[in-house]
Amino acid sequence: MRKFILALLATLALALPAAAHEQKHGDLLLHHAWARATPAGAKAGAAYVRIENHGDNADTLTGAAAGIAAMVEIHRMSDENGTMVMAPAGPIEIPAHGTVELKPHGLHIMFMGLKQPLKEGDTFPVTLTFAKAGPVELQVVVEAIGGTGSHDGDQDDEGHDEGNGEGEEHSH
Amino acid sequence: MNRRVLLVSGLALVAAAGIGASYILNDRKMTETLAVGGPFRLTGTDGQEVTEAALKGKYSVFFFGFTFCPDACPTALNTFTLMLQKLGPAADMVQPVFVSIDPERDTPEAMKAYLESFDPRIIGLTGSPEAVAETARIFRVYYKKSGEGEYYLMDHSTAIIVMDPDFHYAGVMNGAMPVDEMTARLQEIMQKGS
Repeated sequence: MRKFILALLATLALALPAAAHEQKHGDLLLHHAWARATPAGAKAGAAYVRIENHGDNADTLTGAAAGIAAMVEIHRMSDENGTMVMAPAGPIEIPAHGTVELKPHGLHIMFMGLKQPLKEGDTFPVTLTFAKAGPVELQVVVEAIGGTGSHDGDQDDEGHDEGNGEGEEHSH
Repeated sequence: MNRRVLLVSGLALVAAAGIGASYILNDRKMTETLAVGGPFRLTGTDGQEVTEAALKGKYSVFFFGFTFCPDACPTALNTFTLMLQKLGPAADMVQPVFVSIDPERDTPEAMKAYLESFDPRIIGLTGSPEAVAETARIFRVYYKKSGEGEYYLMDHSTAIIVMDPDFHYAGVMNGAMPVDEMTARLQEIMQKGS
């Protein structure tokens, strides 16, 4: 029995990196594509992903597509003196050796006219298009309505390293 | 020509954003002296009229948002849900209220369906565009339609306004606060008022 539990733990340990899924596409590494579950009847939803560019040349995220919604765009949400403002973000540069993070309260893949609710535990495909790297299909995992995309705890830890909530662009 | 129109509307937009922002900023400073919140007339999720009379006797916690909102609104409502659990018995003194600032889309039925994903103690209010505009004015909440066509969005204040059991302004919180912070802030507001 004990051996079985140990084996189980070992299997889980191996499975974990896969859960926080990564996908390589040319010089780009797309890390942990996830969406927030949507409330009943909601016609809009959002997905997030971290995009790392390990190449020597900048690339540009030019658009997104998905079958689950009538219209898909990259949007930027920002808090301007207490007013939440949302608008299409336009092309987004991924700097050479840089990272752009799509995350809550910042840049996101916006689904408009959802054909069905996003249910926790489901996955669905989204295609991101980059100017240089071309299209890449991601499997987006649906997390809880209160999800924050962080894998190190529950929803309470939202925000402590989230800065001012802009879609952050930084080098590494 | 097109460029000129674009430029002019761009400038108008910047000006509008500026007015909105200064309105909100001033709001913060003025809340202690000027009345925020007051009598209103809206529609509940059952289609019946709801006024402040239904909320007296509890601390009502107002969040203004819309259902076609992918992030800020479900997050705030989820925080309300968790906050009610954290408050324990004190939750009996709290009435969270979600007011739509998108009456065009948010019918009572749409609000009802949307709120089924959250704590059933949260009530949803909507109304005619005029009733919603008047309520927003009374609560000093800013909102503005953004974009065109079926998939327009709403820019909106993230302020959460707390009214005391006599329906007088009691305090303000922010929709983006994590649940622990919001709960502590609400408890603080309630202690101050008792």
